[in-house]
Amino acid sequence: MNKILQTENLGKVYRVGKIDIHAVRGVNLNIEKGEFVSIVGPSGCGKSTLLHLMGGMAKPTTGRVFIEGINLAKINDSERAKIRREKIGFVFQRFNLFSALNSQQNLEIAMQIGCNGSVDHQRIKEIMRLVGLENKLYHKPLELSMGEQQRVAIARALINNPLLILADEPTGNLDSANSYKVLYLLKDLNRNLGQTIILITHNQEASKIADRKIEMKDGMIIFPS
Amino acid sequence: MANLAIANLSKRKTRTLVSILAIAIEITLILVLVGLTKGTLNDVASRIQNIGADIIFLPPGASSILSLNNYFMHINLKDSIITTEGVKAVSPVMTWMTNKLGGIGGNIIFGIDRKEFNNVGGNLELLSGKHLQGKYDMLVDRRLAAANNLSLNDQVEVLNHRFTIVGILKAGVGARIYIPLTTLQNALNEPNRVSLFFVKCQSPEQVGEVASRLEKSFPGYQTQLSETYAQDLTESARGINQFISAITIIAILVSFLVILLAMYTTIIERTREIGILKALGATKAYIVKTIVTEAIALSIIGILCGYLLSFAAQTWISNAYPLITIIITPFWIMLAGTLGLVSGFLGSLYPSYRAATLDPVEALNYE
Repeated sequence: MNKILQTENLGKVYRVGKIDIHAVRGVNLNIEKGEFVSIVGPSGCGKSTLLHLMGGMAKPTTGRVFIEGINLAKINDSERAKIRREKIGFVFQRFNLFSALNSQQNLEIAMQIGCNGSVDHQRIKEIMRLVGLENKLYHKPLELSMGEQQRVAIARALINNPLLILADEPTGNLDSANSYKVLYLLKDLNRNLGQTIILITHNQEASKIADRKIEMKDGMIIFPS
Repeated sequence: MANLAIANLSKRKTRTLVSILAIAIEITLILVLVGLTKGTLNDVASRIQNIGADIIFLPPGASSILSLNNYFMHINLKDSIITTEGVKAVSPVMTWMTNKLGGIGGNIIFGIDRKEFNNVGGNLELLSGKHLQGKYDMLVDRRLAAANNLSLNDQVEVLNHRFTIVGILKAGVGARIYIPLTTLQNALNEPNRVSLFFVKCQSPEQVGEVASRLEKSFPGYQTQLSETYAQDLTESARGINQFISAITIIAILVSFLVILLAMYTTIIERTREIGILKALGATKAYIVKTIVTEAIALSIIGILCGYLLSFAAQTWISNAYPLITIIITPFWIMLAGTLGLVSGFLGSLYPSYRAATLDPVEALNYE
Protein backbone atom coordinates (compact mmCIF):
# COMPACT_ATOMS: atom_id res chain seq x y z
CA MET A 1 0.00 0.00 0.00
CA ASN A 2 1.11 3.58 -0.63
CA LYS A 3 1.28 6.18 2.04
CA ILE A 4 -0.78 9.12 0.81
CA LEU A 5 -1.15 11.22 3.94
CA GLN A 6 1.19 11.60 6.85
CA THR A 7 1.25 13.97 9.79
CA GLU A 8 4.23 14.53 12.06
CA ASN A 9 3.82 16.03 15.49
CA LEU A 10 0.95 18.12 14.13
CA GLY A 11 -0.35 20.91 16.33
CA LYS A 12 -2.66 23.87 16.05
CA VAL A 13 -3.02 26.64 18.61
CA TYR A 14 -5.75 29.26 18.42
CA ARG A 15 -5.48 32.43 20.41
CA VAL A 16 -8.78 33.64 21.87
CA GLY A 17 -8.16 36.91 23.65
CA LYS A 18 -5.15 36.20 25.84
CA ILE A 19 -5.76 32.49 26.05
CA ASP A 20 -4.08 29.92 23.83
CA ILE A 21 -6.31 27.03 22.87
CA HIS A 22 -4.48 23.88 21.81
CA ALA A 23 -6.98 22.45 19.33
CA VAL A 24 -4.61 19.76 18.02
CA ARG A 25 -1.55 18.47 19.86
CA GLY A 26 1.25 16.29 18.56
CA VAL A 27 -0.79 14.22 16.12
CA ASN A 28 1.10 11.58 14.15
CA LEU A 29 -0.89 9.78 11.50
CA ASN A 30 -0.27 7.65 8.45
CA ILE A 31 -3.02 7.01 5.93
CA GLU A 32 -2.49 4.44 3.20
CA LYS A 33 -4.10 4.44 -0.20
CA GLY A 34 -7.48 2.67 -0.17
CA GLU A 35 -7.95 2.94 3.59
CA PHE A 36 -11.22 3.88 5.25
CA VAL A 37 -10.28 5.51 8.54
CA SER A 38 -12.59 7.07 11.08
CA ILE A 39 -11.46 9.68 13.57
CA VAL A 40 -13.86 9.71 16.47
CA GLY A 41 -14.12 11.81 19.58
CA PRO A 42 -16.40 14.15 21.49
CA SER A 43 -17.34 17.61 20.27
CA GLY A 44 -14.51 20.11 20.63
CA CYS A 45 -11.77 17.49 20.76
CA GLY A 46 -10.07 18.92 17.66
CA LYS A 47 -11.32 16.49 14.99
CA SER A 48 -12.47 19.18 12.56
CA THR A 49 -9.32 21.23 13.09
CA LEU A 50 -7.29 18.12 12.32
CA LEU A 51 -9.32 17.61 9.15
CA HIS A 52 -8.73 21.23 8.09
CA LEU A 53 -5.00 20.78 8.67
CA MET A 54 -4.92 17.51 6.70
CA GLY A 55 -6.90 19.14 3.86
CA GLY A 56 -4.62 22.17 3.61
CA MET A 57 -7.39 24.51 4.69
CA ALA A 58 -5.49 25.70 7.77
CA LYS A 59 -1.80 26.07 8.54
CA PRO A 60 -0.38 24.09 11.45
CA THR A 61 1.25 25.88 14.36
CA THR A 62 3.68 23.00 14.79
CA GLY A 63 4.52 19.85 12.86
CA ARG A 64 3.96 18.90 9.25
CA VAL A 65 1.36 17.41 6.91
CA PHE A 66 2.48 15.48 3.86
CA ILE A 67 0.17 14.58 0.99
CA GLU A 68 1.89 12.21 -1.41
CA GLY A 69 5.14 13.47 0.02
CA ILE A 70 4.37 17.18 -0.41
CA ASN A 71 4.82 19.15 2.79
CA LEU A 72 1.78 21.45 2.97
CA ALA A 73 3.61 23.81 5.34
CA LYS A 74 6.26 24.49 2.70
CA ILE A 75 3.92 25.54 -0.08
CA ASN A 76 1.97 28.76 -0.58
CA ASP A 77 -1.80 29.36 -0.56
CA SER A 78 -2.29 28.83 -4.27
CA GLU A 79 -0.29 25.59 -4.23
CA ARG A 80 -2.40 24.37 -1.29
CA ALA A 81 -5.52 25.29 -3.29
CA LYS A 82 -4.12 23.18 -6.15
CA ILE A 83 -3.68 20.22 -3.78
CA ARG A 84 -7.27 20.63 -2.61
CA ARG A 85 -8.74 20.75 -6.09
CA GLU A 86 -6.64 17.90 -7.47
CA LYS A 87 -6.23 15.52 -4.57
CA ILE A 88 -8.92 16.14 -1.96
CA GLY A 89 -12.70 15.99 -1.87
CA PHE A 90 -14.45 17.48 1.14
CA VAL A 91 -17.81 16.40 2.54
CA PHE A 92 -19.23 18.64 5.26
CA GLN A 93 -21.82 18.20 7.96
CA ARG A 94 -23.95 21.01 6.53
CA PHE A 95 -23.54 19.75 2.94
CA ASN A 96 -22.36 23.21 1.79
CA LEU A 97 -24.00 23.07 -1.61
CA PHE A 98 -24.64 26.29 -3.54
CA SER A 99 -28.31 26.83 -2.84
CA ALA A 100 -28.91 28.87 -6.01
CA LEU A 101 -27.60 26.07 -8.25
CA ASN A 102 -29.06 22.68 -9.10
CA SER A 103 -27.19 19.41 -8.51
CA GLN A 104 -25.62 19.38 -11.96
CA GLN A 105 -24.46 22.98 -11.63
CA ASN A 106 -23.01 22.29 -8.18
CA LEU A 107 -20.95 19.50 -9.70
CA GLU A 108 -20.04 21.67 -12.69
CA ILE A 109 -18.52 24.32 -10.41
CA ALA A 110 -16.34 21.71 -8.70
CA MET A 111 -15.36 20.27 -12.07
CA GLN A 112 -14.54 23.69 -13.53
CA ILE A 113 -12.33 24.44 -10.55
CA GLY A 114 -10.66 21.03 -10.64
CA CYS A 115 -10.28 20.63 -14.40
CA ASN A 116 -9.20 24.08 -15.55
CA GLY A 117 -12.66 25.16 -16.61
CA SER A 118 -13.70 22.09 -18.58
CA VAL A 119 -16.94 20.29 -17.78
CA ASP A 120 -17.78 16.67 -18.66
CA HIS A 121 -21.54 16.20 -18.37
CA GLN A 122 -21.23 12.46 -18.94
CA ARG A 123 -18.97 12.21 -15.90
CA ILE A 124 -21.46 14.25 -13.85
CA LYS A 125 -24.25 11.84 -14.83
CA GLU A 126 -22.09 8.82 -13.96
CA ILE A 127 -21.23 10.18 -10.54
CA MET A 128 -24.84 11.13 -9.85
CA ARG A 129 -25.81 7.57 -10.84
CA LEU A 130 -23.14 6.25 -8.48
CA VAL A 131 -24.73 8.09 -5.55
CA GLY A 132 -28.20 7.05 -6.69
CA LEU A 133 -29.42 10.47 -7.74
CA GLU A 134 -29.30 10.33 -11.53
CA ASN A 135 -32.91 11.58 -11.61
CA LYS A 136 -32.13 14.63 -9.43
CA LEU A 137 -29.69 16.41 -11.73
CA TYR A 138 -31.83 19.51 -12.09
CA HIS A 139 -33.05 19.76 -8.50
CA LYS A 140 -31.81 22.58 -6.33
CA PRO A 141 -30.68 21.73 -2.77
CA LEU A 142 -33.92 22.92 -1.21
CA GLU A 143 -35.83 20.55 -3.49
CA LEU A 144 -33.88 17.59 -2.11
CA SER A 145 -34.10 15.76 1.22
CA MET A 146 -31.18 16.22 3.62
CA GLY A 147 -29.91 12.75 2.80
CA GLU A 148 -30.06 13.51 -0.90
CA GLN A 149 -28.24 16.79 -0.38
CA GLN A 150 -25.46 14.96 1.40
CA ARG A 151 -25.25 12.45 -1.44
CA VAL A 152 -24.94 15.33 -3.94
CA ALA A 153 -22.16 16.71 -1.73
CA ILE A 154 -20.44 13.30 -1.87
CA ALA A 155 -20.87 13.29 -5.65
CA ARG A 156 -19.25 16.72 -5.76
CA ALA A 157 -16.34 15.47 -3.63
CA LEU A 158 -15.87 12.56 -6.06
CA ILE A 159 -16.23 14.48 -9.30
CA ASN A 160 -12.54 15.21 -9.80
CA ASN A 161 -11.48 11.69 -8.87
CA PRO A 162 -9.64 12.75 -5.69
CA LEU A 163 -6.89 10.89 -3.94
CA LEU A 164 -8.61 11.33 -0.60
CA ILE A 165 -12.08 12.17 0.71
CA LEU A 166 -12.24 14.07 3.97
CA ALA A 167 -15.72 13.75 5.43
CA ASP A 168 -16.42 16.02 8.39
CA GLU A 169 -19.42 14.70 10.38
CA PRO A 170 -21.27 13.78 7.17
CA THR A 171 -24.17 12.27 9.14
CA GLY A 172 -24.35 15.02 11.75
CA ASN A 173 -27.45 16.60 10.21
CA LEU A 174 -29.17 13.40 9.12
CA ASP A 175 -31.73 11.09 10.64
CA SER A 176 -30.68 7.53 11.29
CA ALA A 177 -32.07 6.13 8.03
CA ASN A 178 -30.26 8.72 5.92
CA SER A 179 -27.13 8.41 8.08
CA TYR A 180 -27.11 4.71 7.32
CA LYS A 181 -27.44 5.34 3.57
CA VAL A 182 -24.65 7.91 3.54
CA LEU A 183 -22.28 5.75 5.60
CA TYR A 184 -22.88 2.74 3.38
CA LEU A 185 -22.41 4.88 0.30
CA LEU A 186 -18.99 5.88 1.64
CA LYS A 187 -18.28 2.25 2.45
CA ASP A 188 -19.21 1.21 -1.08
CA LEU A 189 -17.01 3.87 -2.59
CA ASN A 190 -14.12 2.62 -0.51
CA ARG A 191 -14.77 -1.04 -1.19
CA ASN A 192 -15.68 -0.86 -4.88
CA LEU A 193 -13.56 2.04 -6.10
CA GLY A 194 -10.73 1.81 -3.61
CA GLN A 195 -11.45 5.41 -2.58
CA THR A 196 -9.40 6.52 0.42
CA ILE A 197 -11.69 8.09 3.01
CA ILE A 198 -11.16 9.77 6.37
CA LEU A 199 -14.41 10.02 8.29
CA ILE A 200 -14.62 12.48 11.15
CA THR A 201 -17.45 11.73 13.57
CA HIS A 202 -18.47 12.05 17.18
CA ASN A 203 -20.69 8.99 16.80
CA GLN A 204 -19.07 5.77 17.95
CA GLU A 205 -21.60 3.70 15.98
CA ALA A 206 -20.89 5.57 12.77
CA SER A 207 -17.15 5.18 13.26
CA LYS A 208 -17.52 1.40 13.10
CA ILE A 209 -18.18 1.58 9.36
CA ALA A 210 -14.47 2.31 8.83
CA ASP A 211 -11.75 -0.30 8.67
CA ARG A 212 -9.58 1.55 11.14
CA LYS A 213 -10.64 3.73 14.04
CA ILE A 214 -8.65 6.54 15.62
CA GLU A 215 -9.92 8.12 18.81
CA MET A 216 -9.19 11.71 19.82
CA LYS A 217 -9.56 13.62 23.05
CA ASP A 218 -8.37 17.10 23.99
CA GLY A 219 -6.60 17.52 20.67
CA MET A 220 -4.59 14.31 20.99
CA ILE A 221 -4.89 10.80 19.64
CA ILE A 222 -5.73 8.48 22.52
CA PHE A 223 -6.36 5.35 20.49
CA PRO A 224 -4.31 3.68 19.22
CA SER A 225 -2.03 5.10 21.85
CA MET B 1 -18.68 30.44 -12.86
CA ALA B 2 -21.18 32.34 -15.01
CA ASN B 3 -23.91 30.04 -13.67
CA LEU B 4 -23.03 30.97 -10.11
CA ALA B 5 -22.89 34.69 -10.89
CA ILE B 6 -26.21 34.69 -12.74
CA ALA B 7 -27.90 32.44 -10.17
CA ASN B 8 -26.86 34.87 -7.45
CA LEU B 9 -28.42 37.76 -9.37
CA SER B 10 -31.78 36.03 -9.46
CA LYS B 11 -31.49 34.76 -5.89
CA ARG B 12 -31.00 38.21 -4.36
CA LYS B 13 -33.69 40.06 -6.23
CA THR B 14 -33.93 43.23 -4.11
CA ARG B 15 -30.20 43.81 -4.13
CA THR B 16 -30.09 43.10 -7.85
CA LEU B 17 -32.95 45.49 -8.60
CA VAL B 18 -31.51 48.30 -6.47
CA SER B 19 -28.10 47.94 -8.12
CA ILE B 20 -29.59 47.83 -11.60
CA LEU B 21 -31.68 50.90 -10.80
CA ALA B 22 -28.63 52.80 -9.53
CA ILE B 23 -26.66 52.05 -12.68
CA ALA B 24 -29.68 52.87 -14.85
CA ILE B 25 -30.01 56.23 -13.09
CA GLU B 26 -26.29 56.87 -13.63
CA ILE B 27 -26.68 56.27 -17.36
CA THR B 28 -29.89 58.31 -17.55
CA LEU B 29 -28.35 61.17 -15.60
CA ILE B 30 -25.41 61.34 -17.99
CA LEU B 31 -27.39 60.92 -21.21
CA VAL B 32 -30.27 63.24 -20.34
CA LEU B 33 -28.25 66.06 -18.80
CA VAL B 34 -25.58 65.97 -21.46
CA GLY B 35 -28.26 65.58 -24.13
CA LEU B 36 -30.15 68.52 -22.68
CA THR B 37 -27.08 70.75 -22.59
CA LYS B 38 -25.78 69.75 -25.99
CA GLY B 39 -29.28 69.77 -27.44
CA THR B 40 -29.96 73.32 -26.30
CA LEU B 41 -26.64 74.59 -27.61
CA ASN B 42 -27.01 72.73 -30.90
CA ASP B 43 -30.55 73.96 -31.32
CA VAL B 44 -29.51 77.59 -30.80
CA ALA B 45 -26.50 77.22 -33.08
CA SER B 46 -28.34 75.45 -35.87
CA ARG B 47 -31.11 78.03 -35.83
CA ILE B 48 -28.56 80.81 -36.23
CA GLN B 49 -26.76 78.89 -38.98
CA ASN B 50 -30.07 78.22 -40.76
CA ILE B 51 -30.59 81.96 -41.24
CA GLY B 52 -28.10 81.66 -44.06
CA ALA B 53 -25.90 84.65 -43.18
CA ASP B 54 -22.13 84.09 -43.32
CA ILE B 55 -20.98 86.39 -40.55
CA ILE B 56 -22.48 87.82 -37.36
CA PHE B 57 -21.09 91.27 -36.66
CA LEU B 58 -21.17 92.13 -32.96
CA PRO B 59 -20.41 95.23 -30.89
CA PRO B 60 -17.36 95.35 -28.61
CA GLY B 61 -17.72 93.20 -25.50
CA ALA B 62 -20.67 91.24 -26.86
CA SER B 63 -21.02 87.50 -26.26
CA SER B 64 -21.52 84.76 -28.83
CA ILE B 65 -24.56 83.83 -26.78
CA LEU B 66 -26.89 86.30 -28.35
CA SER B 67 -29.45 86.12 -25.60
CA LEU B 68 -26.88 87.44 -23.11
CA ASN B 69 -26.13 90.59 -25.05
CA ASN B 70 -26.94 94.01 -23.67
CA TYR B 71 -24.54 95.81 -25.97
CA PHE B 72 -25.84 97.87 -28.82
CA MET B 73 -24.30 99.72 -31.78
CA HIS B 74 -25.57 102.41 -34.14
CA ILE B 75 -27.57 101.24 -37.13
CA ASN B 76 -25.55 103.60 -39.36
CA LEU B 77 -22.65 101.15 -39.19
CA LYS B 78 -24.61 99.14 -41.74
CA ASP B 79 -23.70 101.68 -44.44
CA SER B 80 -20.01 101.18 -43.76
CA ILE B 81 -20.27 97.40 -43.52
CA ILE B 82 -22.11 97.10 -46.84
CA THR B 83 -19.30 98.96 -48.61
CA THR B 84 -16.68 96.52 -47.32
CA GLU B 85 -15.19 94.49 -50.15
CA GLY B 86 -16.87 91.09 -50.49
CA VAL B 87 -20.04 91.98 -48.57
CA LYS B 88 -23.26 91.32 -50.44
CA ALA B 89 -25.96 92.18 -47.89
CA VAL B 90 -26.35 93.31 -44.29
CA SER B 91 -29.31 92.86 -41.96
CA PRO B 92 -29.51 94.80 -38.69
CA VAL B 93 -31.13 92.89 -35.84
CA MET B 94 -32.16 93.93 -32.34
CA THR B 95 -32.33 91.07 -29.84
CA TRP B 96 -34.17 90.89 -26.53
CA MET B 97 -35.02 88.16 -24.07
CA THR B 98 -38.54 87.61 -22.87
CA ASN B 99 -39.80 85.07 -20.40
CA LYS B 100 -43.42 85.75 -21.24
CA LEU B 101 -43.73 82.86 -23.65
CA GLY B 102 -42.18 80.07 -21.69
CA GLY B 103 -39.06 78.12 -22.45
CA ILE B 104 -36.26 77.54 -19.97
CA GLY B 105 -34.57 80.89 -19.37
CA GLY B 106 -37.01 82.64 -21.70
CA ASN B 107 -37.01 83.16 -25.43
CA ILE B 108 -35.05 85.48 -27.63
CA ILE B 109 -36.95 88.00 -29.78
CA PHE B 110 -35.46 89.21 -33.04
CA GLY B 111 -36.43 92.67 -34.13
CA ILE B 112 -35.88 92.61 -37.90
CA ASP B 113 -36.39 94.51 -41.08
CA ARG B 114 -37.98 91.71 -43.10
CA LYS B 115 -36.61 92.82 -46.46
CA GLU B 116 -33.04 93.14 -45.21
CA PHE B 117 -33.35 89.89 -43.24
CA ASN B 118 -34.41 88.16 -46.46
CA ASN B 119 -31.41 89.67 -48.25
CA VAL B 120 -28.92 87.88 -45.99
CA GLY B 121 -30.75 84.59 -46.57
CA GLY B 122 -33.18 84.66 -43.69
CA ASN B 123 -36.15 83.27 -45.52
CA LEU B 124 -38.77 82.91 -42.87
CA GLU B 125 -41.13 80.19 -44.08
CA LEU B 126 -44.72 80.79 -43.08
CA LEU B 127 -46.86 77.79 -42.19
CA SER B 128 -49.91 80.01 -41.79
CA GLY B 129 -50.80 83.70 -41.71
CA LYS B 130 -48.76 86.54 -43.18
CA HIS B 131 -45.42 88.29 -42.71
CA LEU B 132 -44.74 91.28 -40.46
CA GLN B 133 -46.53 94.38 -41.73
CA GLY B 134 -48.02 96.30 -38.83
CA LYS B 135 -46.12 97.92 -35.95
CA TYR B 136 -47.29 95.37 -33.38
CA ASP B 137 -47.31 92.28 -35.57
CA MET B 138 -45.53 89.24 -34.26
CA LEU B 139 -44.36 85.98 -35.83
CA VAL B 140 -43.80 82.90 -33.70
CA ASP B 141 -42.45 79.52 -34.75
CA ARG B 142 -44.47 76.31 -34.69
CA ARG B 143 -42.78 74.84 -31.58
CA LEU B 144 -43.33 77.98 -29.53
CA ALA B 145 -46.95 78.22 -30.72
CA ALA B 146 -47.53 74.56 -29.84
CA ALA B 147 -45.88 74.92 -26.43
CA ASN B 148 -48.05 77.92 -25.53
CA ASN B 149 -51.23 76.99 -27.41
CA LEU B 150 -50.87 80.10 -29.52
CA SER B 151 -52.67 80.54 -32.79
CA LEU B 152 -53.14 83.21 -35.40
CA ASN B 153 -54.58 86.53 -34.19
CA ASP B 154 -53.88 85.74 -30.54
CA GLN B 155 -52.74 88.74 -28.52
CA VAL B 156 -49.50 88.59 -26.57
CA GLU B 157 -48.20 91.28 -24.23
CA VAL B 158 -44.49 91.87 -24.48
CA LEU B 159 -42.51 94.95 -23.41
CA ASN B 160 -45.73 96.63 -22.28
CA HIS B 161 -47.30 96.38 -25.72
CA ARG B 162 -49.93 94.06 -27.07
CA PHE B 163 -48.75 92.21 -30.14
CA THR B 164 -50.89 90.23 -32.54
CA ILE B 165 -49.63 86.93 -33.85
CA VAL B 166 -49.97 87.33 -37.59
CA GLY B 167 -47.98 84.32 -38.71
CA ILE B 168 -46.78 80.91 -37.59
CA LEU B 169 -43.31 80.10 -38.90
CA LYS B 170 -41.61 76.85 -39.67
CA ALA B 171 -39.30 76.19 -36.71
CA GLY B 172 -35.54 76.12 -36.95
CA VAL B 173 -34.52 79.52 -38.37
CA GLY B 174 -33.14 82.25 -36.12
CA ALA B 175 -35.29 83.21 -33.14
CA ARG B 176 -38.66 81.78 -32.18
CA ILE B 177 -40.23 85.26 -32.03
CA TYR B 178 -39.95 88.04 -34.60
CA ILE B 179 -41.27 91.61 -34.38
CA PRO B 180 -40.43 94.67 -36.47
CA LEU B 181 -37.01 96.18 -35.78
CA THR B 182 -38.25 99.71 -35.13
CA THR B 183 -40.91 98.48 -32.72
CA LEU B 184 -38.33 96.70 -30.60
CA GLN B 185 -35.93 99.67 -30.76
CA ASN B 186 -38.65 102.04 -29.58
CA ALA B 187 -39.91 99.68 -26.90
CA LEU B 188 -36.39 99.53 -25.48
CA ASN B 189 -35.87 103.28 -25.87
CA GLU B 190 -32.91 102.57 -28.10
CA PRO B 191 -33.87 104.12 -31.43
CA ASN B 192 -31.33 103.61 -34.21
CA ARG B 193 -29.48 101.04 -32.13
CA VAL B 194 -29.05 97.38 -33.00
CA SER B 195 -27.59 94.30 -31.29
CA LEU B 196 -25.93 92.72 -34.32
CA PHE B 197 -25.67 92.64 -38.06
CA PHE B 198 -26.04 89.48 -40.09
CA VAL B 199 -23.67 89.74 -43.05
CA LYS B 200 -23.94 87.84 -46.32
CA CYS B 201 -20.80 87.58 -48.43
CA GLN B 202 -20.62 87.62 -52.18
CA SER B 203 -19.15 84.14 -52.23
CA PRO B 204 -18.62 81.46 -49.54
CA GLU B 205 -14.87 81.39 -50.27
CA GLN B 206 -14.53 85.01 -49.18
CA VAL B 207 -16.08 84.64 -45.74
CA GLY B 208 -12.80 84.44 -43.82
CA GLU B 209 -11.27 87.36 -45.66
CA VAL B 210 -14.38 89.49 -45.26
CA ALA B 211 -14.45 88.81 -41.51
CA SER B 212 -10.79 89.89 -41.25
CA ARG B 213 -11.49 93.03 -43.25
CA LEU B 214 -14.43 93.90 -41.01
CA GLU B 215 -12.40 93.41 -37.85
CA LYS B 216 -9.66 95.57 -39.32
CA SER B 217 -12.03 98.30 -40.43
CA PHE B 218 -13.97 98.33 -37.16
CA PRO B 219 -11.43 97.92 -34.36
CA GLY B 220 -12.91 96.41 -31.21
CA TYR B 221 -15.96 95.01 -33.00
CA GLN B 222 -16.25 91.27 -33.35
CA THR B 223 -17.10 88.94 -36.15
CA GLN B 224 -18.47 85.45 -35.67
CA LEU B 225 -18.52 83.01 -38.57
CA SER B 226 -21.81 81.15 -38.91
CA GLU B 227 -19.98 78.00 -39.96
CA THR B 228 -18.12 77.74 -36.64
CA TYR B 229 -20.92 79.17 -34.50
CA ALA B 230 -21.82 75.86 -32.82
CA GLN B 231 -18.24 75.22 -31.73
CA ASP B 232 -17.63 78.84 -30.67
CA LEU B 233 -20.89 78.88 -28.75
CA THR B 234 -19.89 75.78 -26.80
CA GLU B 235 -16.49 77.29 -26.05
CA SER B 236 -17.88 80.65 -25.00
CA ALA B 237 -20.58 79.05 -22.85
CA ARG B 238 -18.04 78.73 -20.08
CA GLY B 239 -18.92 76.21 -17.43
CA ILE B 240 -20.91 73.96 -19.75
CA ASN B 241 -18.11 71.47 -20.21
CA GLN B 242 -17.25 71.66 -16.52
CA PHE B 243 -20.92 71.10 -15.73
CA ILE B 244 -21.03 68.04 -17.97
CA SER B 245 -17.81 66.72 -16.40
CA ALA B 246 -19.14 67.30 -12.89
CA ILE B 247 -22.41 65.50 -13.63
CA THR B 248 -20.54 62.63 -15.27
CA ILE B 249 -18.12 62.27 -12.35
CA ILE B 250 -20.94 62.38 -9.78
CA ALA B 251 -22.91 59.77 -11.74
CA ILE B 252 -19.86 57.49 -11.98
CA LEU B 253 -19.14 57.91 -8.26
CA VAL B 254 -22.73 57.07 -7.31
CA SER B 255 -22.68 53.98 -9.50
CA PHE B 256 -19.23 52.96 -8.22
CA LEU B 257 -20.36 53.28 -4.59
CA VAL B 258 -23.60 51.41 -5.18
CA ILE B 259 -21.80 48.52 -6.85
CA LEU B 260 -19.12 48.58 -4.16
CA LEU B 261 -21.75 48.44 -1.43
CA ALA B 262 -23.87 45.84 -3.23
CA MET B 263 -20.91 43.56 -3.88
CA TYR B 264 -19.46 44.13 -0.43
CA THR B 265 -22.73 43.12 1.22
CA THR B 266 -22.89 40.17 -1.12
CA ILE B 267 -19.46 39.05 0.00
CA ILE B 268 -20.49 39.30 3.65
CA GLU B 269 -23.70 37.38 2.92
CA ARG B 270 -21.87 34.77 0.91
CA THR B 271 -18.81 34.32 3.07
CA ARG B 272 -19.74 30.67 3.54
CA GLU B 273 -20.11 30.12 -0.22
CA ILE B 274 -16.66 31.61 -0.71
CA GLY B 275 -15.42 29.17 1.91
CA ILE B 276 -16.93 26.34 -0.14
CA LEU B 277 -15.17 27.59 -3.26
CA LYS B 278 -11.92 27.67 -1.32
CA ALA B 279 -12.48 24.14 -0.01
CA LEU B 280 -13.03 23.04 -3.61
CA GLY B 281 -9.62 24.48 -4.40
CA ALA B 282 -10.69 27.63 -6.25
CA THR B 283 -7.84 30.01 -6.95
CA LYS B 284 -7.97 33.65 -5.89
CA ALA B 285 -8.33 34.57 -9.56
CA TYR B 286 -11.36 32.29 -9.88
CA ILE B 287 -13.06 33.92 -6.90
CA VAL B 288 -12.24 37.42 -8.15
CA LYS B 289 -13.63 36.50 -11.59
CA THR B 290 -16.84 35.14 -10.04
CA ILE B 291 -17.50 38.38 -8.15
CA VAL B 292 -16.45 40.63 -11.04
CA THR B 293 -18.59 38.62 -13.49
CA GLU B 294 -21.59 39.19 -11.24
CA ALA B 295 -20.87 42.93 -11.04
CA ILE B 296 -20.36 43.20 -14.79
CA ALA B 297 -23.63 41.31 -15.42
CA LEU B 298 -25.37 43.75 -13.06
CA SER B 299 -23.77 46.67 -14.88
CA ILE B 300 -24.76 45.45 -18.34
CA ILE B 301 -28.40 45.02 -17.32
CA GLY B 302 -28.29 48.41 -15.57
CA ILE B 303 -26.79 50.07 -18.65
CA LEU B 304 -29.46 48.61 -20.94
CA CYS B 305 -32.19 49.75 -18.52
CA GLY B 306 -30.48 53.16 -18.40
CA TYR B 307 -30.67 53.44 -22.19
CA LEU B 308 -34.39 52.61 -22.12
CA LEU B 309 -34.96 55.08 -19.29
CA SER B 310 -33.02 57.79 -21.15
CA PHE B 311 -35.04 57.39 -24.34
CA ALA B 312 -38.24 57.34 -22.29
CA ALA B 313 -37.14 60.54 -20.52
CA GLN B 314 -36.24 62.11 -23.86
CA THR B 315 -39.69 61.32 -25.26
CA TRP B 316 -41.46 62.52 -22.14
CA ILE B 317 -39.49 65.80 -21.93
CA SER B 318 -39.98 66.49 -25.64
CA ASN B 319 -43.74 66.04 -25.24
CA ALA B 320 -44.07 67.92 -21.97
CA TYR B 321 -41.68 70.73 -22.91
CA PRO B 322 -41.72 71.13 -26.70
CA LEU B 323 -39.11 73.90 -26.65
CA ILE B 324 -36.49 71.70 -25.10
CA THR B 325 -34.22 69.70 -27.36
CA ILE B 326 -32.40 66.64 -26.04
CA ILE B 327 -29.82 65.07 -28.28
CA ILE B 328 -28.69 61.57 -27.33
CA THR B 329 -25.78 60.83 -29.62
CA PRO B 330 -24.15 57.43 -30.33
CA PHE B 331 -20.90 58.83 -28.91
CA TRP B 332 -22.49 59.60 -25.53
CA ILE B 333 -24.42 56.31 -25.57
CA MET B 334 -21.12 54.48 -25.96
CA LEU B 335 -19.32 56.68 -23.45
CA ALA B 336 -22.06 56.39 -20.79
CA GLY B 337 -22.15 52.60 -21.30
CA THR B 338 -18.37 52.36 -20.99
CA LEU B 339 -18.38 54.51 -17.85
CA GLY B 340 -21.15 52.33 -16.38
CA LEU B 341 -19.08 49.21 -17.04
CA VAL B 342 -15.91 50.78 -15.66
CA SER B 343 -17.64 51.93 -12.47
CA GLY B 344 -19.20 48.47 -12.03
CA PHE B 345 -15.82 46.83 -12.56
CA LEU B 346 -14.01 49.17 -10.16
CA GLY B 347 -16.78 48.84 -7.59
CA SER B 348 -16.37 45.07 -7.58
CA LEU B 349 -12.57 45.03 -7.26
CA TYR B 350 -12.24 45.58 -3.51
CA PRO B 351 -15.06 43.17 -2.54
CA SER B 352 -13.65 40.52 -4.86
CA TYR B 353 -10.16 41.00 -3.44
CA ARG B 354 -11.59 40.67 0.08
CA ALA B 355 -13.42 37.50 -0.91
CA ALA B 356 -10.30 36.04 -2.49
CA THR B 357 -8.21 36.62 0.62
CA LEU B 358 -10.71 35.23 3.15
CA ASP B 359 -9.43 32.47 5.39
CA PRO B 360 -11.04 29.22 4.13
CA VAL B 361 -11.82 27.81 7.58
CA GLU B 362 -13.23 31.09 8.94
CA ALA B 363 -15.29 31.49 5.78
CA LEU B 364 -16.70 27.96 6.04
CA ASN B 365 -17.61 28.45 9.70
CA TYR B 366 -19.23 31.85 9.07
CA GLU B 367 -22.79 31.98 10.40
